[in-house]
Order: sequence, then structure tokens, then C-alpha cells
Amino acid sequence: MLNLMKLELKKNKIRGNIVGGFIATFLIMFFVIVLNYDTTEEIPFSDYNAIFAFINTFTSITFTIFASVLLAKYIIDEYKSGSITVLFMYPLERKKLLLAKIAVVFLFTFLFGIISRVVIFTGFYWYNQYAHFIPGTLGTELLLQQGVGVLVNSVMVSCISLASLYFGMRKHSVPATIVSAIIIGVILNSTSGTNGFTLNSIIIIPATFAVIGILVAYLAIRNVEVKDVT
Amino acid sequence: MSSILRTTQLTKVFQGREVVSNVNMNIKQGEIYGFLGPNGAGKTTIMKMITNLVKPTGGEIEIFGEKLTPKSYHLLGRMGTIIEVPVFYDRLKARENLELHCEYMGYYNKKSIDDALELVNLTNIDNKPVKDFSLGMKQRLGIARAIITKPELLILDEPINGLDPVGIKEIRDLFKMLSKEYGITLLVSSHILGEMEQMADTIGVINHGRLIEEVPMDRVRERNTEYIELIVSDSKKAAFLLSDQLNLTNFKVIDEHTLRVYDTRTAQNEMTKVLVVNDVMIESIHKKNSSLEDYFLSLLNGGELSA
Repeated sequence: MLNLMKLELKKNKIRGNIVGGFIATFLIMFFVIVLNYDTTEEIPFSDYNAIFAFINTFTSITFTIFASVLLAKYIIDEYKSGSITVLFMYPLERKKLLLAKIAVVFLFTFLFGIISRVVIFTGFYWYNQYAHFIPGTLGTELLLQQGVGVLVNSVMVSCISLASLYFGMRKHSVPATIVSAIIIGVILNSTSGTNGFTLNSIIIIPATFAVIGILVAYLAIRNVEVKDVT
Repeated sequence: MSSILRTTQLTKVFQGREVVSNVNMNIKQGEIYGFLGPNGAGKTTIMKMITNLVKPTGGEIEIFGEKLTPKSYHLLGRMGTIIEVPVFYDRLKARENLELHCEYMGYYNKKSIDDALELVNLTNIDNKPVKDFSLGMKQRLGIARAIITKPELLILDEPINGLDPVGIKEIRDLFKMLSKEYGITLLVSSHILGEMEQMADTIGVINHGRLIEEVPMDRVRERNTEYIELIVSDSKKAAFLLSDQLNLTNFKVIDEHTLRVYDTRTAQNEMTKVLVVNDVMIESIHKKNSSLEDYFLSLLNGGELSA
């Protein structure tokens, strides 16, 4: 399995996506900082919690979409270009071949979910030292609590973003994959935004969504062993 | 010779349409099996069923003495294939594509990549991504990929598409060499008759999803007949003259100007004399061999096509 994942990386040249991930990260960071200069309304961010919530929402949406782009590139594109016929003529279980791809996308989304949030917050924190948007210091307790939040949130985003594969696989369509990811990302994050951050929403709701995401992704590849590749 | 691939009553239905019907084919170990048929006859579908890409609706396939099931992955490791057109990871270079192939096949002899590239005569291509290749080069690379792991069975769908005449000859020689020297069995499809004639040991003729005939090439050659073809100003008049004055019966009027005389013992100069004396102008006259083309066309036209 690990070997198959390595081959996927070799085949698809992940470097471009890593650069893309960092570009997205720095754009969000820039956005978070610039928003603090908006003085037309009330103060945009009153404390660190608000900043964390904002970063969470934005990275979640961004990387749900990012994951769908990767799914399109790793899986849907192989169907479209016909190279899937080459892949499926190897003496390997098809589910395993596809799972390797999904695992690569999952890991990428998960790791980048964490890296991106950490980078964005760190960037903001440094900038805040000079600009003093948000007064006060950062408590260890808050940092720890948010750290767990980032971890849980990244897992959830990585799982739920796999669901877009199901919509893309129906007609092997790249747009369907990406559009469904945008819809999923926006819907999920707009609701969790209004709910605020309770312990309940950290564990139960994300866990449910994560399970749904994995199940739906499984549906997408369930029949691959017996399905005709035309 | 034992059989390496056998299908029994192989049938495939796509959306209510039967594209392959009750095909019973039998490929013997070490031979070159030419799969001949017009476009859309069902050649590719059968090849896809053999490589497990498409699952049969009915019947079964036996490869290397084992029944093919959706889980027969290990059998795929013993085949080399090109289905439809050679597809690659376009942005990667030729060598990277072949390296990937070896990894997936679980074949770790790095030298074999150079050997395969040399066999198909693809050299100095290392720095070019495959998307910049011509169709002929892709075809060669596809063949290289198929033979790199020294498979027992090669399944090649229209492998000479896009090759120039010199290339076709090279590849034909390569196939013969693989068959003779390495004992590799080849299933090669084509709609180009002359090509099949020159390399196949057995020919399977397929049309409308049915295997019309499966016949050793030797038998086709035996069946070949010689004839004299005459191109004249008026073939009807010529026909009358030939039967009336030379007592010939074994001939056929092909069209207004063409006649075929199957009785090759009749001297050409005699025919010429009779025709010229009676004011039938002769444009050409020569001896011909009825080739596989005629045989093939007669098979294809034997059914519903003749009208």
C-alpha cells in the first residue's frame, strides 16, 4: 500500500500541489491580516478565539476544495485520459489502487490542514506583535484547546472532502467533483460557524460528518472490481 | 501445441445490444493469432474481456489453463497489452512511464527498459515528455511497455496504427522474432489484411460480434487460387468470345471492364488474339493470386452484406 502511494506521488508530481497549498495558505493569512484594517464597521476580531474560528472556516473550505482538485487529478483524470485501463491491467486489486490514491489525497489534505492553520496563525501572531489588533497575551490553555480543535477539524475536513469523489465518479466529471466539494465545504462551514465552538460540536458533529464522508467515498469505489472500464 | 487462451460462448451485451456473440476462440501456445475484422466488429471488446477490463455477459475465458474471474489479478501479470490506443502518463517522459510500469508489474530488472526501447527502435527520447510524441512513437513505446516484462501472452490492439511502412516492417519482424525466439504468444488485431497475411499463424475473422472463421494461415494459402485478370473495353463481349471461341467456362465478369479467368492453363496470347481479332481492346492482362483480401472479403460478404 505504501509503495502504491509512493508510485502515485511519482506519477502525479506532488510538488506543484505543495506550492499551490502554500500559496492558498499565504493568501488566507494575508486576508486575515488585512481584514483587521477594516474600520468601517465594528472591530472585526475582538479576541484570539474569533481569529481561530475565522481561520478554521477559511482553511476548511479551501482544503475541501483543494482535496477535490486532487481527487479529480488523481482519479477522475485517469478515467478521462484512459490511463485507468493501463492501471487496471496491472496484477493488483483495483480497490487497492484507488485506495492508495484516496489515501494520498487524505494525507495531503490532513497535513496541509494542520500546516496551513499553524502557518496562518503564526503569521498573524507575529504581525499582531507590531500592529496590536488584538490586545492581551495568548494563554497556554487557549492554545492547547485550539490545537486539539485544529487536529480534529483537519481530520474532519479530510474525511468529508472525500465525499466529492462520489459525485465526480458518477460521470467521471472533473467539474462535478469540484462543484460538489464547494457546496459541501460552504454548507458545512456556514452551519458550524453559527453554532460556535462547543465541545459537542468538536466531537460528535465532526465525527458524524467524517464517517459520512468515508462511507460516501467507499460507495464511489465499491463496485470498481466488477464494473466495466470502457 | 497446447492452447493458451480459450473462450467458450463468450458474449457481451452493452445496453441491450449484443456486441460480442458466442465467440469460441482458441489461441495456441507460441503462435501469432491475427484478429481480423472491420472497425466496430467487436475486436477491442473481446480483448478488453480477456484483460478483465470488461466483464462478459455470458460464456467464459480460460487463460493459461485457468478460468478468468474478476479476481484473477495474478493472470494479468503474465500478459503484456495495448488496448485501443497506447495511453501513457503524458507529462512524464518515456523512461519514467516504463519505470512506473515495471514497478506496478513488480518487475525489477532495470536493464530490461533499455532492451525494450532498443527492440522497438526508440532511442534518444529520454528528455521528451510523451505528450510530444507522434502516434507512431507512442505505438512503439506502447509495444516496448508491453514486452518489457517478457510476458507469456501479448495482446496488441491495432499495434501498427500510425506507423510508416518501414516501421510496420520493423514491428512485424519484431513480432515474429518474439514468437519464434522467445516463444511468446501474440494476439494481434488489425483491419489491415495484408499485414495479417504476412505475420499471422492463425487468423480469426470477426464481424458483427461473431467469429466467422478461425483458420490456420497455411490453409488459407492452400485455398488461394491463381487467375488471369483482363481489363478490356467491353467485358460482356469478351466473355462471350472466350466461351464461344475458346470453350472457357471457368471465368467471372467482375464489372464492365474486368474479367477473371480461373482456368490458368489457357495461354494468354490465345486469349489476346481472339479478343483483338474481334475488336475488343485490351488494356491489360496479367496473372494474379487471390490473396487473403479476397478470402476475407468473401467471408465478410458471405452473410447479410451481399445484396
